Amino acid sequence: MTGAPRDTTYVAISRGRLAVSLVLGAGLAAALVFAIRGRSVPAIDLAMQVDDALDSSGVSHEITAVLLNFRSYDTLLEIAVLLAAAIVALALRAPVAETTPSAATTHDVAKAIDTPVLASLVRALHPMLLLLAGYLLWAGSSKPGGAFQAGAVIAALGVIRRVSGVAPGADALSRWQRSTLLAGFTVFLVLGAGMLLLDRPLLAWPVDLSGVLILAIEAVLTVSIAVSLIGLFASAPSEQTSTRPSGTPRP
Amino acid sequence: MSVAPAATLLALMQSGSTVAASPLIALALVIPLCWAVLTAMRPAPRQTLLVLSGLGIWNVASAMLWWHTRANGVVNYALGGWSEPLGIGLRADGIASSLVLLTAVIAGGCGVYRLCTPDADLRGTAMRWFWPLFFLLGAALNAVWLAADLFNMYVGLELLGLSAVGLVAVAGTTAALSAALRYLLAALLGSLAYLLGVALLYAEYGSLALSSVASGFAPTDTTIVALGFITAGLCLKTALFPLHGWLPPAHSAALPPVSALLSALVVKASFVMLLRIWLGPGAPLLVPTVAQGLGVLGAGAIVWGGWQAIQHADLKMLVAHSTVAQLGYLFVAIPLLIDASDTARAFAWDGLMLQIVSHALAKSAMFLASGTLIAAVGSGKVVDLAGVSRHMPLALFAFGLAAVSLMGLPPSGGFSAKWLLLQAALAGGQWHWAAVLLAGGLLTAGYVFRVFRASFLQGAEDRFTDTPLGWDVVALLLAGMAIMLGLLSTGPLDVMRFGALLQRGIT
Amino acid sequence: MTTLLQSAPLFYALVGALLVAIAFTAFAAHTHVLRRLLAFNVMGTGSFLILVGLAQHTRGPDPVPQALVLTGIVVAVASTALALVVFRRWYEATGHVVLPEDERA
Repeated sequence: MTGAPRDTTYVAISRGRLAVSLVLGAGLAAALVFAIRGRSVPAIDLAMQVDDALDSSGVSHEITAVLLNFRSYDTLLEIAVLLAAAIVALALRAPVAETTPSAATTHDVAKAIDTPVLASLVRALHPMLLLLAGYLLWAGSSKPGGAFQAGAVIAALGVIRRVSGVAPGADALSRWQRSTLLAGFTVFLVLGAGMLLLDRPLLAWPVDLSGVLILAIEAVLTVSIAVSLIGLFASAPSEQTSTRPSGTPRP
Repeated sequence: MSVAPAATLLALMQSGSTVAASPLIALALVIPLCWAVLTAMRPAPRQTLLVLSGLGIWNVASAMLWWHTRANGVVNYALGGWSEPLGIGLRADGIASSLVLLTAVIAGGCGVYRLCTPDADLRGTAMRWFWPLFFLLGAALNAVWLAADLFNMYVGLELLGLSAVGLVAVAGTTAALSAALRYLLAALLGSLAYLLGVALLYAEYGSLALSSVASGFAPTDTTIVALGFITAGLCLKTALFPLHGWLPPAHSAALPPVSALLSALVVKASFVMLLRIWLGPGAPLLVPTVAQGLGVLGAGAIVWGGWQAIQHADLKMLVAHSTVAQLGYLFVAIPLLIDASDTARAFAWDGLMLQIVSHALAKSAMFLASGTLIAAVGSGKVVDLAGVSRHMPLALFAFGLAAVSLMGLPPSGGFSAKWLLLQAALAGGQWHWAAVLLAGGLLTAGYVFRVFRASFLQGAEDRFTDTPLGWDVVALLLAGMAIMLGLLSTGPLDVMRFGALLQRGIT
Repeated sequence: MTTLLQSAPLFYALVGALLVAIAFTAFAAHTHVLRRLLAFNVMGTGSFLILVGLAQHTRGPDPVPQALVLTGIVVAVASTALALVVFRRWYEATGHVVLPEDERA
């Protein structure tokens, strides 16, 4: 292994590698355009089937019905993917064994900016973003919106709090935060598997309860998604703790 | 082993029937997911009782599902009560139920190996999160085995990839981190190529269910490009030569039980998807040119992987390259699966199934035994193994049993697998594959004998660390199963023929 | 053929194809892990455009691919975040931004 490169923002591309990449990229473009040109009209109209079944899905918005009823299993696994990523982030919070322990325990991204204007602006954003998240969650059942969108807005608030220094980076996730992280997936899984006890297939919501169940799942998911995303953001070692030359692009 | 006449085999292959939904198929997903949550609630490096109960229940449920399939044939399951193509279907056919059971058995072995690890090796934050990722990986494997929906396979594959990358990364060394990154980049590119293929197929067929794509299938331009993307992506994820570069670092940098799971099962997930797509809807397009092409890449893997394994100074890198080579056999079986001769096809299917199962058992045993040897010697180099034959006889014996199956010596499962593939090559007159199979056996012998040669040399005394007895027991059990599979292959093979994907190819 | 090209949704699919091709070129050409991750994300966006654009050019909006794309986005976000966490930790430990195997090339 060679020594640490000085400038880590850009690594030159070798000419040969670029040439091969260009050829591959051109081939890919040609194949995709060829495939898109050649496509025909499918025999199955799934959109119509969604429409027909919408009344017994418990929600009036098609996309939410697909996500949390018709194809809810995909969504369950998707939340498991997010959980897996969050868990890896938690697992890698401590520096790796071979690193000399630096000041890595205090992740103060915050030191940088400290102005009264910024602080009050961030405070003013709190109610607005939370309201927006609540609206997105509620809207999900009848128009575009839903758990992920709402969770992403709350996560954005969390990120703003961190980078502006309003919330100093809490290092270890508290027990409360960890439970919140797990809550969405747990509720989804327990309710879905609970259907087995009612002698129904996995994730088969009873028609008269499906609306309530879906809303409950979405509400818990929103909070869990937000905590997962904030956790992922906060888990990467920040620039200041790194003992390496600065100048790395911030993700 | 006895081989039934081909006609009987083909009759059996078509005998899978569909029975009423059984909650057992749902339990194969729910149990590992539940234990992922339970172990994440109070994360700790060793949660012996909780983990053991999880592994036990998981194995019992999987065995019941396998038994159910054996008795009743193929089981289809409509998730959420919505039938395909609106909802997502699961399908427990012979291969899926058998792989669910295999996953539970190997996960059980790897889990117990992990529980036996001395406290000193369990320090560090990362170790506390091992178990949630372990159970998520198990759930993802089952999700892929049982999937009958193209997009659902994508989500399952992503869950599998991310939990596998996480398990590599928790080893905590810089080598593990760079291997995890490389693995992740390959995995992401592979699944994106697959997703592109699925997008094109959805545009063409208006459905994501494998069954409805199969019933409306037409070899249009869009379909051909879509299958090309799917194949490229899945081959990258299966580490098919020459797309295998990410595998050896990832599989060798991980903790021993993780290496075992990755090599035994994770790489097979994308292969099984490939098989389901090409032998299911894609069967009309699996023309000899395509099949022979995949076979040639498989042959390349056998030769290149074997040659690299012979060269490597590092024991785990040797075993990881052996995985590259052994995966080659799976692809060599593809041209035999579409042979004109019924007998050849039946032999090829049985050989392929046995290769998947016996390699999984043998390779997990080999990685676990290697981990034990490395822990005892305190070095990962093959030359440093001098003296282990006297001090570590059990671990070396487990390694040896696994090697017997990988080389294809009788009476192991690996022997039966390679013998059946050889029979298929001879029955179909595809002699060139017979030559590849024989060359592969010799290369395998080449690298495993390197390990034995080093082990039987006289070494310095008193430099071995004691290792837990449990480690040896687990490795021996798994290797023993790989051997037993050669003697008792009829029962498992009968089940794996239920709903075999050959149906379309045959008619 | 010409009518196909004139329809707006197919335009999205073609733009998606272009994005995928450009991003793949960048993914293959660069060795810097962060740049490859950025390229991966653009590639993901391109394939989502293809998925949604291609599926609904004759029958109006089809909710199924839209739901699939939402799932795909969550998966892409999770994978990217995971990659960044692992990358930052690795960078912290070694100071490298290019994987060892690519360094030689």
